Amino acid sequence: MTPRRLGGVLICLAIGLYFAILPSHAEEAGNAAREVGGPTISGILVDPQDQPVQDASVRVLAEDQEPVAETETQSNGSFAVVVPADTLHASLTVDIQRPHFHSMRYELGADEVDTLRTGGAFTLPVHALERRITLGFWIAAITFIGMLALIAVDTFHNTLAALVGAAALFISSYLGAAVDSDFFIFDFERSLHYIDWEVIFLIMGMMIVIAVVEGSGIFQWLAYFAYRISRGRPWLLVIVLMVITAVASAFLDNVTTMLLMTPITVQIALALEMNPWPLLMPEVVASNVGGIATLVGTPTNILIGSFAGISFASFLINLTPGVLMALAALAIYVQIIYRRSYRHATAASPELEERLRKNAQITEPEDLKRAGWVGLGMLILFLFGDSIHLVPAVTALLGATALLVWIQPDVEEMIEAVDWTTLVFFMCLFMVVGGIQEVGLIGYVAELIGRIVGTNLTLAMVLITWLGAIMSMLVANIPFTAAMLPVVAFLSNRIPGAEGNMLFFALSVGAAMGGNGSLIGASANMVTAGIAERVGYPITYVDFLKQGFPAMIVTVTVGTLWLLFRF
Amino acid sequence: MENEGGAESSSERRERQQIVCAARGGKGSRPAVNRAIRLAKERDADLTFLFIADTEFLSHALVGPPSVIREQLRDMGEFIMATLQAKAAEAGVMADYAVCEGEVGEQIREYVQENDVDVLVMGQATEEDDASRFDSGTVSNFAAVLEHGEEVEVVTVGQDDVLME
Repeated sequence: MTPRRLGGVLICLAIGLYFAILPSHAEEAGNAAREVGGPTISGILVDPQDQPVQDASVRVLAEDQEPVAETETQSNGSFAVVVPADTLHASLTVDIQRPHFHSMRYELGADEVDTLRTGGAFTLPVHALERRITLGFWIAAITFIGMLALIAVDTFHNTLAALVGAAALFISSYLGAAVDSDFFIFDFERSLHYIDWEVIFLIMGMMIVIAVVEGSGIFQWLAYFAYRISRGRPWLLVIVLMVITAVASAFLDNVTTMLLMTPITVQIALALEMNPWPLLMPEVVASNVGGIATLVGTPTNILIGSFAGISFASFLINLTPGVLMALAALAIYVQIIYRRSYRHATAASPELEERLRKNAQITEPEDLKRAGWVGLGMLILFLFGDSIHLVPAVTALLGATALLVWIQPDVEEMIEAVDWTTLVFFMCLFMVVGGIQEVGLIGYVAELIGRIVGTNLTLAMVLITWLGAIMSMLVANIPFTAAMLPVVAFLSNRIPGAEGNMLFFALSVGAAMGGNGSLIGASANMVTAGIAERVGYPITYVDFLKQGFPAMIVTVTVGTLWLLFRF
Repeated sequence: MENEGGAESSSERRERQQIVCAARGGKGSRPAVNRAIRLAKERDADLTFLFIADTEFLSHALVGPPSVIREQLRDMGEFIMATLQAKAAEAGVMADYAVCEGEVGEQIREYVQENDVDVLVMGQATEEDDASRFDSGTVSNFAAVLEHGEEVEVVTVGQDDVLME
């Protein structure tokens, strides 16, 4: 047997063993009953999408309808309730209630009560609760759409929009529910279940790492290096800048990358007496595309990776070739649309070239060297940490701590560099998305998409990629992606052959590449436009659309083709 | 606030008019820059180009404005002002430049106050610009407020003046 075959057999055995060990719904309920002991009623509750229903109230009622025992369902939807022996009379009723579901009653007949009387356990069949549309449903839906609108029109800070959204849900759940229980969405404790702390800590750790790296001057030096090796020829310069930006964006967040690349790029453009946009636009689209290659490259990938348990290596293997192909297509695209600007550029004067060189020096070479070593260590842990169950959030925190200990910068300054408003944004966003999940809106959307795609995997992949792209172009891609995660999970479970996270990769490609389609599609676009506007090179929404939308079409098409080829 | 150049003493400087040109450096600034250079030449006045690094736009982005980014924006502002300085030198006018950080209207007003500026030359916002960056709404309103409050001659140069330049 060849090593490859042996590997395949071992993988199959491992998968077989995993599924053999993995208990079924019915077995889980039985296990729960055995763990409790005594006359026990157990069962499993699921929603219409076959997802476990947690925190449902399960009460056992005596003949006089008085409760004799009660419990709540666990995270896997199971429950086990011990019925006191002295209450085991002629008949019992199991009453199940859960906000946003129709309540359910199950009458235990004489035989079933007899079983309990002998100290045995009785397991109810797996039951799918029916959804109920409440006032809370509409409030959660309007709140989510309102939050998206507030973020899209940029009248509120993103964090404030998410905070207002979370507050609206609590007002409905507490004040509204005091008037009419139909207003209830979830309580505070339940809302905390929806916060993905792995995402929060990963972003926080990466923020500290970035704060150390960005002060070293490496970005400015790299941009100047691009200018030097291209000898000021814009057609070549733009390709080198795109590669630098894409690689940087794969490991750091796109907004920081563009905040650091834009000022030096503007200087290079002005030295060459050209409008900066023919250099900035390719950079920003490359940044949005390059981020897709890794787990930490974009906030949407961080969300997807954490939710679906996709490793850093898996992102790298499955998406990097597609990213490279999309970048190659973009390089051709920019050469065509900006050819006149590149042709009309002139050589920089020696004085301006000298000033460029001065502005592009590495300011902290020792810190940069240390950051490089720590970065390498982090990369190794990101790549192979999965085998020892090391989650990326811990790797990011270890890297941040190592940098702080080794470089010993001003710790207060570094902690200040953590953008707490972003972290609050994510926490509130998780709550708002949790709200629409709680009331069942996401379930309805999942059902709808499920009906459209049926069991056609190719159609599902294309639909998720393009829906992700168009929605990310129109509204902020982070809340959209957060809301789509349970939908994609539902489709992945339902469509045969979709087990390998391929639909999550489709969401990653669509959400990030779609950001290129419009000015508001990605935060990196907004900050780049903001800087350019401050130096007298504003870009309108329509102008950005004219250049960005075709770039989006090109990259999403290439991305889709890659996904179809890969899976 | 940062000033470059300016070898003359302050008493020598006060004998001559102080012209300040608030500019961003883009195509839209060219008429204002040209007008400021011409005025400095005609009146034999001192000319300073003023750049305001306004980081307010970062407040809507999901990232804090760390000091490094502010430093980068200042470097960029200095570079742009140096290109204007070179342009003035070509026209035979030795100009200085200054880079300030903060809200545009507020910083211009502060600079005018602190430096006894006699003439302020500004471009008029184009349609694509965010005119609301001035407290009083538009450049012309801002100019009127400044002329009244700070006793400074404000010259606003519109896009139509491009043809005249």
